[in-house]
Amino acid sequence: MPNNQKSTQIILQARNLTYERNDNELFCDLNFSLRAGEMLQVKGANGSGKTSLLRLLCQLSLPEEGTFFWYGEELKHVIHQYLREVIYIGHNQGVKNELTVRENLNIFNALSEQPTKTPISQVIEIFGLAEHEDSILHRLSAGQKRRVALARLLLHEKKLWILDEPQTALDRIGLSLLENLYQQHIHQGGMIIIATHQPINAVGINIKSLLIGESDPQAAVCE
Amino acid sequence: MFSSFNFKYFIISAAILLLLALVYAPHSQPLYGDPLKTGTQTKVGVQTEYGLIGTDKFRIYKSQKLEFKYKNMVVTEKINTTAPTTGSLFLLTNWLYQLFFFLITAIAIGYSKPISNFIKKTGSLKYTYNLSGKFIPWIAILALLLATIGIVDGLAFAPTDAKQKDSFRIIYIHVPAAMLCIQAYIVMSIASAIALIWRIKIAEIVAMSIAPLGAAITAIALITGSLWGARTWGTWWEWKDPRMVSVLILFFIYLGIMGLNSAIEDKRTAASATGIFTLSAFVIIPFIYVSVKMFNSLHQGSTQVIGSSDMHPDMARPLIVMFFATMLYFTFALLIRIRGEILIRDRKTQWVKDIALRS
Amino acid sequence: MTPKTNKNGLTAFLAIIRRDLLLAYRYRAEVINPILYFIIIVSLYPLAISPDPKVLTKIAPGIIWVAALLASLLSLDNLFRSDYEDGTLEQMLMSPHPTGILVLAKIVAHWITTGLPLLLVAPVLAYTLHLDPKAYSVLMITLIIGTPILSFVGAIGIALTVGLRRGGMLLSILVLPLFLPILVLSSVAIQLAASPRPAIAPIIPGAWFDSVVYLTTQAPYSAAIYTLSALLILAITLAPLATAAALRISLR
Repeated sequence: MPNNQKSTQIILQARNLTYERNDNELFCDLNFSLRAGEMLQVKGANGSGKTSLLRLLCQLSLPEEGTFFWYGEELKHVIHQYLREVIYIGHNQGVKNELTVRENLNIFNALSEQPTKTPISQVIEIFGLAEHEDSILHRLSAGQKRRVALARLLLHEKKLWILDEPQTALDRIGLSLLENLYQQHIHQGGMIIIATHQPINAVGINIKSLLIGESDPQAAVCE
Repeated sequence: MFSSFNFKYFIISAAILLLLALVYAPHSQPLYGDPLKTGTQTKVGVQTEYGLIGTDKFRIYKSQKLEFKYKNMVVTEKINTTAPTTGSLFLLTNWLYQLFFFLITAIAIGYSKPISNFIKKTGSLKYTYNLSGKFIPWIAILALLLATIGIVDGLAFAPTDAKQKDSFRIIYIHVPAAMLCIQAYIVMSIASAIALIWRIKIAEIVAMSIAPLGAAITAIALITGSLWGARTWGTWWEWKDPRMVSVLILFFIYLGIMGLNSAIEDKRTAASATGIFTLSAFVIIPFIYVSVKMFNSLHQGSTQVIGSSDMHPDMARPLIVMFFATMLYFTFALLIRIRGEILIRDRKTQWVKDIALRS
Repeated sequence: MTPKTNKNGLTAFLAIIRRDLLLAYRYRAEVINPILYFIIIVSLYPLAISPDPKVLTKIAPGIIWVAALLASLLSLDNLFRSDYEDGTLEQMLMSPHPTGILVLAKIVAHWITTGLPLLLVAPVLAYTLHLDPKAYSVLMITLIIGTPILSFVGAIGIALTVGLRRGGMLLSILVLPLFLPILVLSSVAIQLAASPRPAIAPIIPGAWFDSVVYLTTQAPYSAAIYTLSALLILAITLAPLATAAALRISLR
């Protein structure tokens, strides 16, 4: 339910995260925390591990060491509640190119346990896809495909948004739409974790920064 | 001691293992129309023009609930039968042994958290490297000694077989290799399961190292088996022998495991993927034992020979020695592989760099 | 906390089946490919070995089953590949529903689009191979029980290799040893059904259930069919779990 109070409880916390890939340590002893109404921007050079960190947050990969905490409990004990409140839009967008816009959104609706926050037709309207509602995604442009992927954000009520470079291929209108979405979500007490090195142009949002890579004084140098 | 015992794990694993014990419980195999005496040992095989091939020995027990008949099997000869009471005693001790073993396993699963903590502490790669370094020379010497004794005893001192003359002596390599290839797979599955559940690095390394050695020993078993068959059956490969074919499938599974391991770059992901495949393909192990009965009852023309045919003790003695020798040699080769893999995985740490500088 | 509805695992299961069938329907030209492959492989044997009906009758069960195996292997690739490439697989793993249910839905939809057409074509091909008329029912029974097992066991293999670049050959090496027992059991069953049977006195002469009683108790091939059914139940219950675990590993 929309929560307009600014709570000081730490909802998501990561402690001592260490992740390695192909015998390369990407980051060591990473710590961060997130409260309601906060946005975390993960910055770093290409290949520094931004996407890996996001995938760790989605439990698609497992860290070498370290734990996540959700509402103070270890993540592996509350994994089901956690996954219900998380939406992940990753590098490959998670929409089927061979289905139409409406069919894609219907599938996402059926796969989730929650009822829709906004009716599907309204979501399609908001994202400016009304005339392409029944076109197969193959025939749409990259920007329009990205909008379909982002349309999932409005479908269900989710506390934590994890987005990996969401603004790629979006035009000016799309970008402003996205920034409106951020503001709406943050003001309702949600949390966003976003991996991008482009500046986020959002008014009135508290953006925390997390830098991954060798230039980061925070991330310990791994032996 | 009891606070760290996870009762839930114990109950679930005990229930599963009890179910398994009931399924694998000994059962009787009376023939169609000709009830056999309990305690009889019998041989099942396929009658071909070369004689009886693909045989396996079974002991007859009696159990009220699980009795079934073989349809296409024909009795050809009865040699002699043993007393009925030994059969039931054997049955009872077998059951008790199984239940005891399963109880120990369930208790160990109940204590899984402290055990895994212990393994995490002492299973560090450096500790394993140093500890195995102390044992390797002894294992090698012992293996060499036992192998010499076994081979000399088997080749020179074991009595000549009546039917097969001297060509049976290849069993002193074939039988240990065959038993070992199955045991190696079981150990690999256990290591893979540990690596999947607790993500312990040493278990991943053990599982990865057993695969090529298991493939090699399966190849040895197959080659020596076909050499033996060439002498006794007159043919180098017999597709009618279900055990030969199932061990061939096991060989392909080993090769598949090696292929999957090398196809994935990240070593930890590769170990997990290989673990899943190893456990999925585990069904081949009971299949090797069950296939003899299964296919001999499916094909028409199978025969069952009843009677005891235990091995002469002078023939069996080198076999036991060779079995231990082969197992020790396998362990030796495995430890060398594991040590090499530990050095590769930890190549960026200080202790490995010290070793490299020293040598 | 977020509100829960009555959308449960069954809704998700049916939604995924409907989605996969919709995709297959939309690209229905590609559904023909496994069937054509099946027909071509079956026609290779009479050309390569001998068109003599006496020879073909003996080897017909084996030909049909080898071809079914290879066609199944070839069609496994599109079980997870397109979902893996456009990120839908990750979303399925992240959904609150148990992954085993979603994987089960995908495998069922896959069997409907690839295994079921084989069942329709097999009797026609068996006729061209001069299969003994007594064996047709057993042929269909083994195919109905056996092809789902191939889909389930193959799903484990494809889940392990979906992330690899050249996983096709490796998939065959991984999966074919697991297929071999099914192949042998089915072929043996059909061969036994085709061989001359001793005359068995019916229990109640002329009764309609006599053939059922014969099939379940006295037929020489009933053991093989029971074993196949047991393998099918084992595959349905355990393969989705192994496939789900393998998918998680492939997506790391």
